[in-house]
Amino acid sequence: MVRSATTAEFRADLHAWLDVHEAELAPTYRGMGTLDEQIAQMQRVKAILYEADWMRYGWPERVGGLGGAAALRTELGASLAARDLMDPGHFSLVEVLAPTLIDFATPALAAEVVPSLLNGSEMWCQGFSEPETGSDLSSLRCRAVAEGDPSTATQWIINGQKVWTSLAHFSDRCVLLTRTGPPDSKHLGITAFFVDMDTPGITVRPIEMINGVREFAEVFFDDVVVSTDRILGSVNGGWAVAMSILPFERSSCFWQRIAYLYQRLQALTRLSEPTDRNAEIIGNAFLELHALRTRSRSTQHRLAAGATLGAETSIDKVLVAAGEHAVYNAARRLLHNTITLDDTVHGEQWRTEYLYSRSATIYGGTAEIQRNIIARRLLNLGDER
Amino acid sequence: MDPDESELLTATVRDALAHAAPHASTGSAIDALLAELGWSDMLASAPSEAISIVFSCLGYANAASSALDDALLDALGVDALGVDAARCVVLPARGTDPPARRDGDRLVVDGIATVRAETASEFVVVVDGAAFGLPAASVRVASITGIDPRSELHRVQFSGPLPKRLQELIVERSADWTTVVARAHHALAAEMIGVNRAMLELACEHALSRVQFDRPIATFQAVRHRLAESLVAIEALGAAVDAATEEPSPILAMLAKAIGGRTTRTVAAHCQQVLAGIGFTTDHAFHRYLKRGLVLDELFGTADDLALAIGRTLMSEGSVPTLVEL
Ligand SMILES: Cc1cc2nc3c(=O)[nH]c(=O)nc-3n(C[C@H](O)[C@H](O)[C@H](O)COP(=O)(O)OP(=O)(O)OC[C@H]3O[C@@H](n4cnc5c(N)ncnc54)[C@H](O)[C@@H]3O)c2cc1C
Repeated sequence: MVRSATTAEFRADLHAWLDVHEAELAPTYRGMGTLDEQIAQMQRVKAILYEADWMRYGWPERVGGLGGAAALRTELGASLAARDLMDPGHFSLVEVLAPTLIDFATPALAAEVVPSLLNGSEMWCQGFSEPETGSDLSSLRCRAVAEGDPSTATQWIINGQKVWTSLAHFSDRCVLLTRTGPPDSKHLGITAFFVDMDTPGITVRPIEMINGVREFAEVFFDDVVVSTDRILGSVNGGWAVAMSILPFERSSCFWQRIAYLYQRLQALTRLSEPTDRNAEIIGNAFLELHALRTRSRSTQHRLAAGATLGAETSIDKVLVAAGEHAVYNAARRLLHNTITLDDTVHGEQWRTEYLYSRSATIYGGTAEIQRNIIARRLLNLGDER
Repeated sequence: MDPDESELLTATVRDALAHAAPHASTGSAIDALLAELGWSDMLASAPSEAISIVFSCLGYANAASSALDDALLDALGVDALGVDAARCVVLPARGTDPPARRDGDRLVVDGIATVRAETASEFVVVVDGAAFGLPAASVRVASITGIDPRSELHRVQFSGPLPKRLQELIVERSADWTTVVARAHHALAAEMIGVNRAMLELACEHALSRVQFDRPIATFQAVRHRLAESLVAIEALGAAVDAATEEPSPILAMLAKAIGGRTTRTVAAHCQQVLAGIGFTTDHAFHRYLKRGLVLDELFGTADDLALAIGRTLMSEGSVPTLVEL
């Protein structure tokens, strides 16, 4: 049973609870902490919230949830981001991956594993991109072969490589896209697997990102044996699995990111001299965030009213990137020498976040890919040359 | 108003304005048409929604009108009808400050007004929390040609003894300039949605029909991305105006207007580039929208003015409020 009737009441109850438990939830490190500290903090917070039921609202009962609208978990994520209790990017993997398991795994598997993701005892990653497969996801090559006849096989053997897999080296499981059709079968020959990261034959090599953080990794698969009941969706039906992530990524995750951006712009506002130049920069960044927030809100209202989200969320995606750039460009212009020369924890945090913010036009479909989609699907401009 | 009702009303107003052949129609003809459509009843029963719908349709049709006077008088609680003709509101000549000030027991007014300036019985100004009515005969009115003569604006000036307070005659309440500004911001932002949608439609039509290098220019990614960028800006503006419509508040309206100004610059620039030579002529409709957009950005504060004002407020309060919730 959900304890509050409306989203607004839920939000109020949640904030009251978070106020009371603030000390217990707060990170123990100063500034942003190391990646290991951040992950430990997130898992600790998830465990506390699961224990107190907050992490269970908005998730179906068959996977350990307490039911209620998905908007409830969106509120939770946004509240945590607004209070700086965990990194919204790391937390968003819950929102991206749990629904995939709920919709595409066998009910038994979903019931077994989803609670562990929610309660902070596990982390999962998303293995889509490959060295030669970025924007054109349908060209992926990491191969899965059935042992024997594919229709009766109980096991599959996976060989290949993934890259830029966020938090792979912290993860217990991976939602993995593989090629199961002929090499040129594009999106019709892809199968999704739910793979345990401790399966023999998997090697993870962390990669240092542009901001010095080892947040993503290369993942190598060398004769990795996975049982058939770990297939998500159907054989050669992996494209639908990949695409199903979109509505969650483009609603709930965005709302959490947006909450964080408001919090950062507020921090920036308090750190800056109140000159007209600075006010104009802050004002303009705020316009970007407001445009983004109102758009995201109307998208989520449509989702809650039963709409299927599609190409129009490319607009939300472009606006999120614009908002992210606006806040951190403002930081660069307002905090003199902080991003470039300040070695305190304060400088380190702004520097790390500034550099990370550049990825907003890259991951989850690049800015150009979004514009291609908008042109073809929303403006009906036909195909490119 | 539920979504179906508002869609129906939008279609009705849009079609009526389209049939009136707006490119040849005058502000007073549009006013007559709005009256026929029941504009004043709409405004009385659901002001926010009526404004959002009617102004975006006006923008789309590139129509001049005096609907803004009605919207602002409604916000002031002043009857739109004066003694023997409609009242006309004096708008700021620049920014959001009231266009009138007291100088001892005299009143000095320098502002602009809609097409209603030509027929008004009385000009309404707000000074120090009170609305005053200036008899039309005492006001100097000159029509403005400017960049967009079709917007039919007028320069309005007055200097003389303080006239009678209006609300003593009409309603018992103070005239709040903030409410007037919020109304104007909301209406103008909605009008900009229409202006921008029209520009984007013209540019998309052109992109699909214009052939160069043996194919429609819509097949070139550089062209497609400009048009996509325009749609993103317009949809964001639409969401900001919706938020201001749902909850009439000065800050939400001001944000919508500021976003409107920015959107108009983005969309106009991209669409003008895509339309290229043909869009550079007065034969093509684009120029009317470009010019209207420039005028609308100017009225009640440009995007730059408003961004600065908002930024100052955020800095002095040390807070960046989220304003809208799920
Ligand atoms: C921080 C971060 C985290 C990530 N996390 C994950 C993860 O957890 N799991 C995962 O699977 N992947 C992850 N990725 C990878 C990400 O999904 C890819 O980087 C992204 O899909 C783009 O692919 P690419 O880098 O190969 O660029 P490419 O596809 O090679 O593109 C290079 C450039 O060409 C442009 N381009 C490509 N095609 C077109 C076209 N048709 N029209 C116009 N321009 C085009 C692109 O926009 C881009 O500017 C992550 C990336 C980053 C930066």
